[in-house]
Amino acid sequence: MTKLVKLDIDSTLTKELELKEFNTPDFIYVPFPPKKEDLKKEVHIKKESAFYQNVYSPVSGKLTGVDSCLLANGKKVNCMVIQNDFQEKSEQTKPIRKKLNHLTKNEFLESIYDSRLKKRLNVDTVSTFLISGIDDEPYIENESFLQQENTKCIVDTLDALLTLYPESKAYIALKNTDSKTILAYQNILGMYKNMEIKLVDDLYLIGKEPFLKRTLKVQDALFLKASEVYELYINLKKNRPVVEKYITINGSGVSKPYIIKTKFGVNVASIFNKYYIEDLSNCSFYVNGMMGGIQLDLNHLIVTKELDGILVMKKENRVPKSCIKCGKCISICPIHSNPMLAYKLGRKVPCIHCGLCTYICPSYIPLEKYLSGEENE
Amino acid sequence: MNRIHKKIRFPFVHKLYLCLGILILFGWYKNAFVPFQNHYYDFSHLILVFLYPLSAFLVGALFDYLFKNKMPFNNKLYGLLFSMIIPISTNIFLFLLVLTFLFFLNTLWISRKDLDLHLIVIGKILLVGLLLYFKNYHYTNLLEESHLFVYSYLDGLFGHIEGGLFTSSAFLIILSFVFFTFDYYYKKEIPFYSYGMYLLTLVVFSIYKSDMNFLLTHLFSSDILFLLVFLAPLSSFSPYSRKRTTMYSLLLGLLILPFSLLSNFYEGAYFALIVVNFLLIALNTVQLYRMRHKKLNLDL
Repeated sequence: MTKLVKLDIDSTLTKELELKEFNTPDFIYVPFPPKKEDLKKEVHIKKESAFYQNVYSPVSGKLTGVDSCLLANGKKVNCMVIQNDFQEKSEQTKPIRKKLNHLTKNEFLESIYDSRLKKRLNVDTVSTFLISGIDDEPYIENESFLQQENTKCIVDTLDALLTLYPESKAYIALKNTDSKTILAYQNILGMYKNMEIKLVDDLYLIGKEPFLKRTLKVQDALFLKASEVYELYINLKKNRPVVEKYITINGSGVSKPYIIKTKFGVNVASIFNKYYIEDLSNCSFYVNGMMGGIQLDLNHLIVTKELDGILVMKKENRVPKSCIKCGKCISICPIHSNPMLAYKLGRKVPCIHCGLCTYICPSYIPLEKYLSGEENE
Repeated sequence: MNRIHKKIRFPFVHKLYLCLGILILFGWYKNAFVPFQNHYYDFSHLILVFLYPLSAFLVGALFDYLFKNKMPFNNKLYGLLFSMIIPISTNIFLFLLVLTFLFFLNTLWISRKDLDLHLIVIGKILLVGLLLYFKNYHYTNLLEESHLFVYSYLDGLFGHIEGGLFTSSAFLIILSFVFFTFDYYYKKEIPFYSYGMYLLTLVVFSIYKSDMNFLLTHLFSSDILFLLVFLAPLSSFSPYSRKRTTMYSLLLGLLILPFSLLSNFYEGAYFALIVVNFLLIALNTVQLYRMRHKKLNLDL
């Protein structure tokens, strides 16, 4: 069994984050379905109207065209460009008046907008709900922030889930260093039965499903992220899809770190233009963190469900040295893979892109590039 | 390059230099200063002894500079390590000749990243061969040759014993090992397993021969300890996977005593290491062949 590791992190980057809201973008970019000819220009789109599976417009406005955008995984996609009319005209949906824990299972499932989430919850029995409130990536604190802001909503939704699946219990896993979130839960959790906080060590990857299940010894648990529980709350209580999210902007290149609450489809460059006046030309942008994320150009990057944050780091001229065959990349790999095979022989090896091999390498070799096939010797 | 990397405040190579420095000072004290005090050597010898590590370091630095774009290995360090293990009788010119040859060999081996032959050990065997050929081979300084002093086992442990030029203090080598074990990148399991295995064979052999004196004499043999603590775990010349590392360590530990009995306790461990290197290369080749063969069959 691979032992998870605690990362050596830069304490200068763990400053208090300030919450900002960016809800008034001029344009929104929505990735569109394969049939391009279905799109007609100058159509008025209502807020939260469905385009196709799991994609909803976060604003109301006019469809003005098509543009190429970047997703958080580095893929380029075509997007519909919607000009925001700032009127927030939405589909008329009635909020559910019932208390969440009075909903039937059918009502509950039918209210879920995300089909993947619905599928995961559509099971006969659940013994344990395992809620991960952990941000694995260093310097990104979306989950913590979301929980601190919406603790009651999350706990109410969990209570509803526990009512739907009798004899089940819920574990909320938090890092033992995340005192604010622990306190937020402790203040209200006493009133709820079968809900427990489980504190885990501050180790990298511990928030990921297989590692958390293994650590807490609950292999048969139904795993949900705290943000997914909050999504359920919005779906159930407000009867609408989730069209906004938190993203963290942090790093040595920015003067002040922020947690930004923004809408899906917002161009990330416009967020930077609003909050940062400094020159960022000498910086690298790491989308979704420096461990598991990738380096991208921000110009066409849009906010999606998969985007958690951007780390802006001043460029360093650290030259990779030759491999000294210390073998630490192999011993640290959480899935027992061999990054040396990718580096030395250019072979494809299994990889979860956690970045631990690059982190541990004493020769500063960017092993993740060899593993992803981006670079071959 | 701007990813998070584990902070290395005190790199392992610096720790190595520090420990080697202390061993050099002790070697100088034992092989130059004490004989000088007893009027066996003249004053120039006090400086001459330092020429070996100094010249090895400088020639290594020169090679590193000349081939800085090609060399994956740290010649300065390897030169210094090589200067530690040479017999006391080594002529400085012969030493430099072998050293230069080794550095050229190192340059040639760049493309063979899978070749795990221990360069420094090869150097030692080559040098010993040349010294034997020139009939100038011994590990004793003039004071030790005089047999005027009788040392106890404890003296031997603290370094007053015959051995390589700067490797005679088993105590300092053990202290270095303890210091190295705190380093994340040091392959501590190699000296640990190898020494364990060596100890086992030594105990079994001593019981078989009913000779506890033999056990005590070779228990802390400084040349063996130096090889196990400093040379065998060097990343560039040792395997990197856990299985291979264990195999390498245990095989090395197992072969040290037989080879030491066949030759002597100064070079036996070095022969054993080279044999283990060849065994692992053979194993790698067989495994690679089988993998390729399997792939071909699959393609068909």
